[in-house]
Amino acid sequence: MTRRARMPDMARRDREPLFRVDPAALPPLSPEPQAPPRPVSPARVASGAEGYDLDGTRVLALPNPTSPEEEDALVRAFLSGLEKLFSRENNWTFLQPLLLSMEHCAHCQTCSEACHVFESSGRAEIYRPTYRSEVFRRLYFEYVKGGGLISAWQHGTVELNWPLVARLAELAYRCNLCRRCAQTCPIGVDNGLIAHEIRKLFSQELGIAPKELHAAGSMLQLKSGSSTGMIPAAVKDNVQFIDEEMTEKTGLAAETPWDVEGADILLIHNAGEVLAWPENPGAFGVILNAAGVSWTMSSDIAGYDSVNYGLWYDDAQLARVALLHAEIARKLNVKKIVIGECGHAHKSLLVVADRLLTGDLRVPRESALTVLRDIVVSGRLRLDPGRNDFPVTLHDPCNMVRLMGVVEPQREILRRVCPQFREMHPHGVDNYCCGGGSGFAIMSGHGFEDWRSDVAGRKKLQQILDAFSDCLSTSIPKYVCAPCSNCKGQIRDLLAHHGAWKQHRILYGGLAELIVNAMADVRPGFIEWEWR
Amino acid sequence: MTVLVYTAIALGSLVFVIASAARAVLYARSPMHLRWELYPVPHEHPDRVSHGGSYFEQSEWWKQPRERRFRGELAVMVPEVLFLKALREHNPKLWRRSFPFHGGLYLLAGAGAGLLVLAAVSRLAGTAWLDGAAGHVARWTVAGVGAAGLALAVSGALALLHRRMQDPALRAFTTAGDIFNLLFFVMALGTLGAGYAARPPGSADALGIAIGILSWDASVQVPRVLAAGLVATAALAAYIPLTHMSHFIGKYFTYHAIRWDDAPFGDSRKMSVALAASLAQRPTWAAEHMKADGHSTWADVVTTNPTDEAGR
Amino acid sequence: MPTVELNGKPYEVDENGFLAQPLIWNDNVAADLATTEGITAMTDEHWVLVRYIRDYYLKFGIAPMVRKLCKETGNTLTHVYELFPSGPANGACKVAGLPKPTGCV
Repeated sequence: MTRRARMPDMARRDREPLFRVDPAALPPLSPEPQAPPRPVSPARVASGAEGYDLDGTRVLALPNPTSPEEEDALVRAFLSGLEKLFSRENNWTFLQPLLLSMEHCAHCQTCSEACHVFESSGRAEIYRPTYRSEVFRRLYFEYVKGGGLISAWQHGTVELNWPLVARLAELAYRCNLCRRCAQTCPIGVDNGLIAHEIRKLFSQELGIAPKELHAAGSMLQLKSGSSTGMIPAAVKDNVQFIDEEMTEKTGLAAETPWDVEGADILLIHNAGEVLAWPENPGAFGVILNAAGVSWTMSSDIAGYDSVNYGLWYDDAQLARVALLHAEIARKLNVKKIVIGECGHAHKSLLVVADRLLTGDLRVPRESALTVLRDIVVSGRLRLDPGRNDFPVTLHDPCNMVRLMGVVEPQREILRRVCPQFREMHPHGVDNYCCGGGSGFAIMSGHGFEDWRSDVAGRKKLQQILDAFSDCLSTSIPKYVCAPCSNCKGQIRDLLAHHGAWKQHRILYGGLAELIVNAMADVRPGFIEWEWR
Repeated sequence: MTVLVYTAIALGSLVFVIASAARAVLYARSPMHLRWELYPVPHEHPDRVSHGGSYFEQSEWWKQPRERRFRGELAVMVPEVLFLKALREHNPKLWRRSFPFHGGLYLLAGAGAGLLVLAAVSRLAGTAWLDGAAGHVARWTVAGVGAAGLALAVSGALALLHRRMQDPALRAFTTAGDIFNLLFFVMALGTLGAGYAARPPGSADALGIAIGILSWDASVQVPRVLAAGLVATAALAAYIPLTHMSHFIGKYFTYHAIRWDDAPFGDSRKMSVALAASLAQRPTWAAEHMKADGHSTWADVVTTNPTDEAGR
Repeated sequence: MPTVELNGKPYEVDENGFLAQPLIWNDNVAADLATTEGITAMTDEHWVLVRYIRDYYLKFGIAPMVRKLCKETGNTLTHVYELFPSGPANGACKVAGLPKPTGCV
């Protein structure tokens, strides 16, 4: 094991990883959790090492060239993608930010201190935000800007071969794209953007992306309507079940309106909520109906799934899904689209795709958090905060706070409905990522699920433990409010991995559930203190 | 000899200006990018700036009046430019070395500009006023600022160099160019300072040389070491915008054109035109699902569903 | 796709241990897959859950909602976790021979 990997190591031809996570050597947690035993999947043992190892785990199914000619062909394809990344016709979408991040890094390492992955790995060099960027920058100066002796001397070089390309592809998926490092760069260089652009290069030129994001993600969504594989009939069936459940549970008649033309609000949830956390879309229905809001859901292809995984790895997929969402709203002639509790859906449709939607596709788009805030503040619901008299802390999804500036609405709600609300530190735009950002939460295999709980999510776990340090006893149930499906999935896995539910009774869930749990007209006990 | 020094200074300044402008133009002419802002964005309403909020915190934000408060931007820009505030916050150890260095350069630039003004005034109004009280104050101020600038910049560069060699985290990312760049500062500015301090009695002072340049007066005596310092500094000025040290330009764009660029598409005619131009570009990405054959435009590509059996 | 040997029989599985070809599934396959989840003997309670999931999958092409699963089989979620320690999605669905659930679930 080389703890302090250097740039040339990326090109190494041996099969040893550049770094291997040793759980015992990671920064200590306080209080140290007793991790439950986990069955080791025999598939993992059987899969063995193939290809060039970065850090003992992997998320990509990379080609396995068997001859120097095949390797050369792959390296040439990489170089062709590299060139396209810096051309106007191929990458107008991010050319300006990318150029600026390539040209001006002063190698000062200020960003490293902001990175939760770097810190939580015990400062492994390969996870330093600048490590990936600098390897890529050297290739840029050599192969895009023409290279030469002076350039090599000024910018440094790195040997380009297939092992380096393969490791770089993986390394682009060891950054959550949370951009906390970019916030601290004295010059404004953005390592998160660089990771994003490397992912795009591999997807758009070589067709290489994690299957959870592409084949079983955006492609499945474009084909069947949802990355969960739910076809329109399945989602309507499931939501009907949720409506029945909600009616039974709350004592209020719950009915989800479908495909209502001219409704004020087209509500688009992350479809994962319907399957994994039905109480969240259920709670939305209860709130909107109780507040007398004119709303609808859509059963059109992609109209019931707000996810847009292209945001994380592919501009064409991003634009395709965003256009579908806008087109559905246009057809239904709704007044606005409201995005449910899903961070990346907020960012992709409200922010990043903003400059892709023109003409009648410019249907106004708003966050569910402001809609909920307005309802809670307006007094349209009778609220009894006493029903939420347990410790609650708030996780800030990066996509909503640092990357889009929606910070206060969720807090205005929590301050009104949760008497024991307490912040994590730091929070708001200075928050830490949950460790599941940019799709990690849904990626697994080859030990990646352990990596994101042991390394990527470590900082968040410590923040949660700290927020509840005065009430860690199992006699007090505690709630981590995470208004984002991806974050929820990661926090679920993180808490389970470290045994936090069993040891400390720490549960997680969304924001809308806390509102319904406090509604005086609803039967008490909406939130069930059961692990899920 | 004197003319050589004048020429070097003129050329150095010219390259500095042209190369800086070229870089700025390159960035400014980049196509409109998709939004990628980073909060806090300081031109937001003050109630929201305090927690880093955006106009998205308003319900039906598109119906609310949108204002960009330049004063808010200034409140961040001024301390950032003058005192490198972000660096101080996020990397105080580096700031203790970087701030004297940059501060020194600012002072030097200020002294240079001061000299030019004094020289220009003297060319127009004669040199008699320089011996009066006002002249003394002006000359001593410029001299003081210049000397302080030189001392700070050289010691800052040495401190940065020292840190770069000492800290293993930095050393791993240090190129020969990084070392050279810092040494260049130490060498050029060090020679300039030494040459000026050690100039023989009776030789021209800074103001004399400045007036000499403006009138291209070859009779001005510039001592050798000082001449070498001046030529090296002029070369340094020409060199900076050709390297990553042009971040004084890059930074303007990373902040204004990216981090703080939260302008909604709205009814902006300029943005519509830019988008139309970009959508008409023909990408050549090779992955199968892109459906980019070199003939299709971006508009075609993004309206193609790659899962359609028929495809395109 | 890696191959694992369970009870002496080879199976093609994905990197998470889910069956690569869901259609080869039968009761014996389920019992073999259960060993990878630390389940030594499949009880009637296991079978009720597994069969419900399997039937739902054959009908809709995806895994059922966890809540629906609990309600229609008369189980609490806690009990499902007791039966399948890695949970309904990663445990029970695997034993029922489904591919790994996709999307943000």
